[in-house]
Amino acid sequence: MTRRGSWKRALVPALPMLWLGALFLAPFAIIVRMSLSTAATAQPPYRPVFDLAAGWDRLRGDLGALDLANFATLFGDSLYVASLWSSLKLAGLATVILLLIGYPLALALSRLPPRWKPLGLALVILPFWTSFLIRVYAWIGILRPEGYLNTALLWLSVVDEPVAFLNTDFAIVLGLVYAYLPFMALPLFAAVDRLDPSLMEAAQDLGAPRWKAFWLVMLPLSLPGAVAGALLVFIPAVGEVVVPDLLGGSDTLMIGRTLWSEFFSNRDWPLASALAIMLLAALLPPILIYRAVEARRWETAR
Amino acid sequence: MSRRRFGAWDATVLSLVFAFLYIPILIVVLFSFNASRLVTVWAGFSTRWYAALPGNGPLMEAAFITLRIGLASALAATLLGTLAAISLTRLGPFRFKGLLAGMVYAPLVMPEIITGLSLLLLFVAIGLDRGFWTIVLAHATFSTCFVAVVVQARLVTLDRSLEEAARDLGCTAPMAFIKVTLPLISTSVLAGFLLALTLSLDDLVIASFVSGPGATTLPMRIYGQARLGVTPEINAICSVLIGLVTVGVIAASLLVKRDLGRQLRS
Amino acid sequence: MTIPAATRSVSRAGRAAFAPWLEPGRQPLIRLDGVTRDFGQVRAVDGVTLDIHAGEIFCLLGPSGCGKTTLMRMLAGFDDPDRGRILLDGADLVGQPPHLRPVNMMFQSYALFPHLSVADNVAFGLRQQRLGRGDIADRVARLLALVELTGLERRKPDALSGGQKQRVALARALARQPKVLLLDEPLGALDRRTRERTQFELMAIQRELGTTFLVVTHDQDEAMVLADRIAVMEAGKVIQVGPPRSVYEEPQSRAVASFLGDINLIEARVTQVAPGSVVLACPGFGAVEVAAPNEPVEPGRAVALAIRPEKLRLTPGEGLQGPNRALCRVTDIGYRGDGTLYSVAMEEGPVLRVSQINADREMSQAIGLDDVVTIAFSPTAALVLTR
Repeated sequence: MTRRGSWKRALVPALPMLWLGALFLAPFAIIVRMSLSTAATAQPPYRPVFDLAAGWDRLRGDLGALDLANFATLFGDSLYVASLWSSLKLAGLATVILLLIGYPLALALSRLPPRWKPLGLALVILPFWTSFLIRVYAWIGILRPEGYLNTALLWLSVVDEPVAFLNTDFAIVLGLVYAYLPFMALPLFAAVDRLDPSLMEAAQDLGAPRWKAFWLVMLPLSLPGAVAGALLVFIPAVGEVVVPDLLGGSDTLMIGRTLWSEFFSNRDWPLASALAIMLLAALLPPILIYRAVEARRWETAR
Repeated sequence: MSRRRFGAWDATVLSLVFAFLYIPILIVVLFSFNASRLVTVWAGFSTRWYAALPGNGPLMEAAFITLRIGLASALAATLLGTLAAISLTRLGPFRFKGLLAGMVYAPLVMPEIITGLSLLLLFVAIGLDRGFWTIVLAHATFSTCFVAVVVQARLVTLDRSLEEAARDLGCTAPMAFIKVTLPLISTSVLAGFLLALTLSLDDLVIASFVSGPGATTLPMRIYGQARLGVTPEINAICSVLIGLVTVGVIAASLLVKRDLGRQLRS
Repeated sequence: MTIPAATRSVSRAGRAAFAPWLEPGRQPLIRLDGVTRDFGQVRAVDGVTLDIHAGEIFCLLGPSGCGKTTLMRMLAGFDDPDRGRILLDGADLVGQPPHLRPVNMMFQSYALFPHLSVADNVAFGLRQQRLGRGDIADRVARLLALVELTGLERRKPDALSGGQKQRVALARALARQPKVLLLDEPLGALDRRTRERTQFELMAIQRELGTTFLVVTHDQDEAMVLADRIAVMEAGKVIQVGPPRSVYEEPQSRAVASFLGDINLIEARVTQVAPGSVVLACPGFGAVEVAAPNEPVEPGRAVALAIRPEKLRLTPGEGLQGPNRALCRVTDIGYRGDGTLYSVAMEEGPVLRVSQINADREMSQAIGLDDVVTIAFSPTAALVLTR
């Protein structure tokens, strides 16, 4: 490409930039403003409503009406902090379990004969193309007290009475693991499959047993893939709504669900916005790490 | 990576994982053919729940709206995402390139609930009536990022000298893109479109925020019923969707196979 | 016994009469005039001035990062100089987009379009010229015959061997009958056997068409065999230009001498200057008599004595003593079949490399490790380098 830019070329990035700027970036400013407002029984359900036509004095009055009361509520009521903490814990647990499943899975896929590799990969990806909602829904039927799992366990006499699987934290973690498995498997597979097979052989040749060769060679070299996969799972899982709502119990706290009910049931838009900001603040470090890891992965892929 | 042969351990791992992935889905499909309304007890094979689907007006309407939203948003996302991918890989440095890259990557991991809420607040702030078009706008926005990543992945592996060769042989830069680059990335653009379509058809959370009266999507309807428990009707509609996706994915992979085989060989 | 006359001169050195650069007043095809290009803080190309004549095979030779590729991309139009002019037939090319330049390029990766057949690849450039269908078909057929690929028209590039891809790339780049063909490491991607054959094919095609070739390479053997003239580049600058023989036998600096082939460089001092020769004080040898350098030197000047391993004679034991001779001990022997490379250490002074051709089967056994040997060279075997 020539170095001399032309205005026609500038149109190519301008279009996606304007679109994403207007529909992704700008809304964040609005969330911040909303989090400083007060809920009201009105349409729209918050105060103040900025109205530029109403004149400067009114606008100044509106600006003065913004305050941090919602954030005081968030930190005053233990419910909100507890639900954020519990979300981080459950998502973290699911991520660890996925790493433990992901490595053997990625290694097994990478060892498939070349003819079968595309099929193996396709089978891991295929569930991702089927509806997330349907996949979570499928577990309701399995985990219910009178569901397939309990029926099987009773029939096998493993248990005497139905076990409460559904509406527990166990069900949430299971649902998260199930729904996010492809997101962990793909980056891990990409990282593991790219490595030169002779590296593991060299480590074993130099006297490391296989587990140690894995620990000393494979793990460090595939770490960027593992980190990418872990964050790709962890970040959305913290804000998950569908899984806790369908599989969790009424006393299960997850911040996505709390936000959802503040918004839809209590119609408290300002408090929901403040919750969104709290969630975003908690997720900002992992998001930045993810971005840095991905940038590095692109570099090395080149 | 290990040159170690695929062994018994690997076979066990794959079998367990695939069983875990597919048994729940198969159960849904299986019990959609159950004659009984009691979903746990098998009472014989029947297609009555499927026969009832076309008569379910609200459901069919929701399916139709969802499909139209999916197509419209996927088309917009494919155009915008491809432009973004070209900007990030082919235009060299330009002002705000870092910003564009950030705006492409951040939505990929952003919890849907934040995206949904922020878009709703935007639409309220600018006084846009919520409904069909607000869902299209919202879906096109996050799908753009997925398309951009898919197309970008192909562009970075594409030899830059191919475009240079075309220009050396008499093409202007836009012509070189049309005659050489576009045919070579077309599979990825198509994959990006299908991904955008799937994401849109699948989305519940964002649509719930930005939809309005008269624009209830299929996931919203299924969700409303699923909260009340498992029913054979939902099993049936879910099975139809699973079947459609499976057929679609197989058809797409057959179409792509030739191209993929070529890529793998080189 | 009759000795057969050479029926075909394969090496460029055989074309002794072809030397347009020696003709005064002759207009060059390409003139680079003070061409400079910076990438941020790095000066990739630094004031390069060069003339390249019609019909030449001209090689830009240098290590990676020396600026040779940047220079070639500026000729193709993928980059433009910050300063300086690039003249083709007297007209400045700077600022002209690549698709309008009468210059074509054979890419290092070949850059064959994977979605087009061999014939469509070759026809690509012709289609941009809006030639008639029949014309294009004719020319594609002729080009494929030239590179001996007739019959493979319908193949896709992925179904070709490395050597075949290289020839498609050549045919495609020649299709528009460029005034200059740029070749970026043309043999770099080929295995050794294909390489040697392709080298001669390239030269035969060039001779047949008379197109000017500009070859960029880091491989000195490739440059030596192909080129009419070589420009040696280092750190963005052209440090010497000339026919292969002169660049190899008469390097003008330590950099050129050590980049092309192997050479022993010994730091020495001029003691006497006579017409046609100089005497140096040289560690290990004592007084050494060498042919005078091109540039006048005065006694006391620090210089380098440069002598290539094959130009040192090696005899076992303590031979005759005298000028241009020294006693050494063998410290290393590298047997290579056709020859042997010895490392020899002088009593005081540097370790030198000496290569001997194994003209006799017994020869390589005559000298062993730690043996005392005498090395010697004639006054015209060595060079005095002032830079």
